[in-house]
Amino acid sequence: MTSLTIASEIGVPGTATVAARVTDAVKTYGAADNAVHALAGVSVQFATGRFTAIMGPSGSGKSTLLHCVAGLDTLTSGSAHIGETDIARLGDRQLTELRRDRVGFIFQSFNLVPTLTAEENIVLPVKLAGRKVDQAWFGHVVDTVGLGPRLKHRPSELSGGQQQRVAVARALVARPQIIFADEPTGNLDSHSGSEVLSFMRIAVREFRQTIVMVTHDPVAASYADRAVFLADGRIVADIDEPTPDSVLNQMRTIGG
Amino acid sequence: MFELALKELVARRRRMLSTVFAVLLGVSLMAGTLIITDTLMAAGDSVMEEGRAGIDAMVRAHSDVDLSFGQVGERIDASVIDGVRQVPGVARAEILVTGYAQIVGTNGEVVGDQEQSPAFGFNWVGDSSIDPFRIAEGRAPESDDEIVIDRGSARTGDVHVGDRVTVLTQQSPTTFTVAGIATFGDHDSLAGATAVLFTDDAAQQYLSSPGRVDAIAVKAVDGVSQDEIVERISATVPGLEVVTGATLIAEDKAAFHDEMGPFRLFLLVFAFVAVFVGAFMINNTFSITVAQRTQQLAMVRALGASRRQVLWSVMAEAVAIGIAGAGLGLAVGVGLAAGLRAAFEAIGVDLPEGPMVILPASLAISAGIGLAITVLSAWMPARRAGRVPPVAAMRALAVDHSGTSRRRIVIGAAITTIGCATLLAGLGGGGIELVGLGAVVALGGVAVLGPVLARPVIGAFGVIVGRLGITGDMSVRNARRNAKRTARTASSLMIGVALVTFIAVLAASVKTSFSGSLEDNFTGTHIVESGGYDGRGGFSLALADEMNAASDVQVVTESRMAPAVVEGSNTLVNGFTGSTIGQVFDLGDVTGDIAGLGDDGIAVDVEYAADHDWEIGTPVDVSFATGTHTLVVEATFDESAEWVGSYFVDVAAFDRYLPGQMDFRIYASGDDTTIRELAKAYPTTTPLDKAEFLDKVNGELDTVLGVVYALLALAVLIALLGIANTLSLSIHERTRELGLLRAVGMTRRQLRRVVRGESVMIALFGTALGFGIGSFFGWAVVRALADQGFDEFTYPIGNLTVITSIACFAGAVAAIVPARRAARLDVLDALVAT
Repeated sequence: MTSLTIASEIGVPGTATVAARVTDAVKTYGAADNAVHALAGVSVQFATGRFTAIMGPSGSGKSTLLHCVAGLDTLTSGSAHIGETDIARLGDRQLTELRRDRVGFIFQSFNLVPTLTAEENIVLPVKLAGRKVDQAWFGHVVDTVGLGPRLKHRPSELSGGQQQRVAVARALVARPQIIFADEPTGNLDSHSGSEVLSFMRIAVREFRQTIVMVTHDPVAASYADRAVFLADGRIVADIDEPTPDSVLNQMRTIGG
Repeated sequence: MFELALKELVARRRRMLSTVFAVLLGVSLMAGTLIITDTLMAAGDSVMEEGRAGIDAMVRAHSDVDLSFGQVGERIDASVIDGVRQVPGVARAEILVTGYAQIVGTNGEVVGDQEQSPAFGFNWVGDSSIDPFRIAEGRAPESDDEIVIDRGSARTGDVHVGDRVTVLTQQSPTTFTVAGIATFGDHDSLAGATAVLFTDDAAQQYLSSPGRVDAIAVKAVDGVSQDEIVERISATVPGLEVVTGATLIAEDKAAFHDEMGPFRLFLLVFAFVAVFVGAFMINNTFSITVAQRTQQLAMVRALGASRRQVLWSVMAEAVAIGIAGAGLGLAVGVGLAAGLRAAFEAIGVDLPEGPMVILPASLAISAGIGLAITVLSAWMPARRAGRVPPVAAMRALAVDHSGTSRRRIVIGAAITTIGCATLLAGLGGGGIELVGLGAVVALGGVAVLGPVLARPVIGAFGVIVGRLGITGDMSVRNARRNAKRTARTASSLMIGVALVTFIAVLAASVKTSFSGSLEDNFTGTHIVESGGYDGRGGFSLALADEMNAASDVQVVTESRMAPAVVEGSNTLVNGFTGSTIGQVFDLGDVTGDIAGLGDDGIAVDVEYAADHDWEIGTPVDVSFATGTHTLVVEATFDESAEWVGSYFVDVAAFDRYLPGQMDFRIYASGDDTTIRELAKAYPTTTPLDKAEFLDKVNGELDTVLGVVYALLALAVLIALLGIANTLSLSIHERTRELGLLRAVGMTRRQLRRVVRGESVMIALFGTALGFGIGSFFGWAVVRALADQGFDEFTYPIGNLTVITSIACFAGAVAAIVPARRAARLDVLDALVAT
C-alpha cells in the first residue's frame, strides 16, 4: 500500500457514500515473461454525487481502470465494487443487469443504435429492463440537454454534439448509481464539447448524479470536482476542484 | 491482385464455407444424378448388347408405332422361317416369341413389380449363339407344361427346380413345372425384368397365338456381313421388315435410354433448383462482402489498382469458391450415386448390375455448371467492386444501400409481368418449356422487386411482432435497415417456398378434382386395377369373362390401353366395353350409339371433336403397332373425359387389331365379395371399391409428393444456409453496435432473441413472397388443366400453415449459430472493433 493510495482515499473527506471503488486493482496483459501491467495496484473510491475525471497520458491505464470499475473488463487481482456489489462475483447475466440498471455509459463515439430514434436510444436501457419510462423525468432530462425537437431523429440525422447529448440523456434517464464516460468529448469540436460537459456538470449538481470521466483534455477535466492522475498503471496525483492550469501543471509533472 | 483475392478468401474462410457448400450441393446432386443414370444406362446397354450379340438379322413386322419394352406389337407367321432358312448364307434361323408372363412365387405373391420393370415371356431358343439365356440349374423345357425362369426371379420368388408355379399370361392363370433356372449371359436377370421361357408351342399358345411369332432371328455363315444377309432375306419376305443385329441393338439401347429419360430429368430438375437457389445465395454473399470491403477496395484503388484489377480480384475469389465447391461436389456426387444405388437395392428395386460408370462428360457438365453459376452470380457484385471510387477510402463505411428506386419498381414489375405472361402463354398451349421459362423469369422479377417490398411487408409483420417488446422491435428494424440485403437473402427461400406452395396447391386441387369427379362421374361400384401402365402388362381377358359369368356382378366394363399414332402424334388409345361403359361412367349427352361402336368406331368428347373438326362420320386413321386402320367417329359424349379420354374405341377394335393386349382395368358394378373372390385368382389385380380407389390414388400422389418435398427441402436448406450466412456477415458488420447494446444492458438472451427475430423476419418475408408466387403458379396450372377435368382450385390451408410454421422455425434454426456468435462477443472487444 503506497502513500499515494492512502492519499487518494483521504482525498474524499466527509463523503457519506461511495458509488464505486477499486482496491489493489491489478490488470496484466500477456504471459508472465512479457507481461504488461495496465494497472499496477490501484485503489480509488468515487463518492456519490461527485464528478471525477481520470487523467493520464496514453497507456497510463485510465481506460482500463474505467472498464474494470464499470464491469466491462475483469481485474487480474484486486476487487472492484459498484456500491456494495463486488462485480468480480457476478456472472455475465448479473453483470449485464448491473450495467443496465445501475450504470450509465457515455462513449467517445458510436454511442447510439443507428436503427433507433434519439428518443428510443434514450429509453433503451429502461426498455431492455422491461420497465416503464418515467415520463416526467424523461421530459426533464430531455429539456436539460436541449433535445426536444430532435427526439424523432435517427442518429445519422444528428450532429456529433447532438449524438453525445443523446448519450448523456440515455445515461441519465435510467437514474443509474454511477455514469462512466470514456472521452465523451474526444470527437467533438470545442463548442459542442463544452455543451456536453456542462450538461454532465448540471447532472451532478442538480440531479446528484455520480460521474466518472476518462479524458486527456485539461479543459474537460476542469469541469470535474476532482481529477485523479494515472501514469504507468498507478495513481500519481489526486486533486480537487481542478482548473485547466492546475491539470496542465500536473500533466507536465507526470510527463517530465 | 490475385494474391489479395486469395488472402481475402483465407481470412474469411468460415464465411465463405457456406458459399462453397451451396455450390457443392447443386453440383453433387447434378453429378450424382448423371452418374447413377449413366451407370444404369451402361448396365442396360451391356445387357442389350449381350441379348442381341449372336443375331445378324431379324425378320419382323413393320410398325408405325415406336414400341417400348413389353408393349404388344404385330406378329408374323411362323412359317416364314422355312423360306428364311433357304436363303443362302443363313447359318441358323430361330423363331422368337415374346409376350407377357408373370410368375407368381411359391408364397402366392407376384414376383417383381411390373410397375417398375416388365414381366416377359419368351420361347426357349436353346441356341446360345442367338439367345443368351443359358441353363444354370436343371434343364431346358421339354413339354408344354414346363418352363425355365431367370435366376433373379427364382431368388426373389423362392422358386426351385421341380416346383410347380402359377404363371399369369393373357390366358387364365396356369400352373407349370419349373424345369430349369437360367441366366441371361452372365446376369441373373434381363436388366431387372422377370422372364419365363416356354417351349415354342407353349410360347405361341400363352404369349401370342398358335402359328404367330414375333420375329425370326438369323445367324449368318462366316464371311457374310449383316447388311448382306439382310438384303438377301428381304428379297424373300415381302411385306416384312428385316433389320441387322446392329440396328436391333441400337433400337434396344435407345428404348432403354428413353425409359431412363424421365427419371433422369426428374432428378435433374431438382439439381437445377438447387443450383438456382445457390446462385441467389452466392450473389448475396458477394454483394455483402464487397459492400463491407468498400473502404479497403477504395484504398487499393487509391494505391493505383485499376478498376479491372479490382473487378478481377473479386472474380478470382468467385472462381476459387466455384472450383472448391464444384470439386467437392463431384466427390460427393460420386458418393451420392453409390448411396442412391445402394438405397434402391435396399428397398428392393432390381437394378441392372454393372460397374459404376463415371463419364468425364457428366463430371465436366456438373462441375462446369457449378463453376459458371458461381462466377455469374459474383459478376454484378464484382462490377460494383470495380466501380468503387478511390475517394471512398476517406468516407465512412458505406454499406450497400436500400434499393427502392423507381427504376427498380418499373424494371421489376416489367420482368414479373413478362414472366407471368410467358407462363400463361405456355399454359395456354405454348408448351412446357414456356411454362418453365415464365416461372423462372417471374421468380427473377419478384426477386428484383424484393427490396421494394421488403420494407412495407416486414413493417406489416412488425405491427404484430413489435408487441413482443424492445427485442422484437429491434429485430424488425434490423430486417428493414438494409432492404436489399434482406430481400436478396429471402429470395432463395422464396424460390423453395414458391415451388413447395405450387406443388401443394396443385396436389390439393388434383385431389379434390379427382375425388369430385370419381363421385360425380363414376357410377359403378368397383375398379379392378392392374399394375400395368402404358399398355404394358395388365391381366388376362379371362377375368372379365369370369366376372360376366357371375350372376351377382351386374356390369363389367373392360378397359385396355395401347400406344398408337393418331393424326400424326404419338398417344395412348383407350378401349372400353362399349355396351356397358355408359353404366359405369356418366358420359353426359351422348349422340350416336356407343354400344354399337364395334371394331371400327370411335367415340369422342364434344370439345375435342370441335377442336379437331371431327364429327360423326369423320374417318380417323389410327396406327396401332399392328398397322394403320381407318376408324370412323360414330358417337360423341360430353362428360367423364378425364376417365375415358378425349376419345376411345371399343375393346372389339383391340381384339381385332391388337390381339394379345390385356385388360388394364375393369370397371364393374356388383357384389363386393364375388368381385374380390374372382380377382383373387389373378394376383396382379387389386379389386378396389370407390373409397379404396380414392385412397390408392391419393396414396400414390402422396408418395410422389413426399419425394418432391424431400428434394425441395434441399433448396430450402440452401436458403437457410443463405440466411445464416447473411446474419453472420451482418453481425460482423454490426460488431460495435452489438458491443454498445451489451454495454448498456442487453442480456445475451435478449441479443440472441434480436438476431433470431431478424432471421425469422427474413424467413417470413421469403415465405410470404414464395406463397404469393407459388399460389399464382398453382392457380394458373390448375386453370390450364381445367379442360382435363381438374376443375377445382383448392387452397390447402392446413398444409400451407404447416409450411409457414416450418419456415419460421427454420428461420429460427438458421439463426442459432449467428445468434450464439453474436451473444458471445466480448463487450469490450466489440466496442473497440473497427
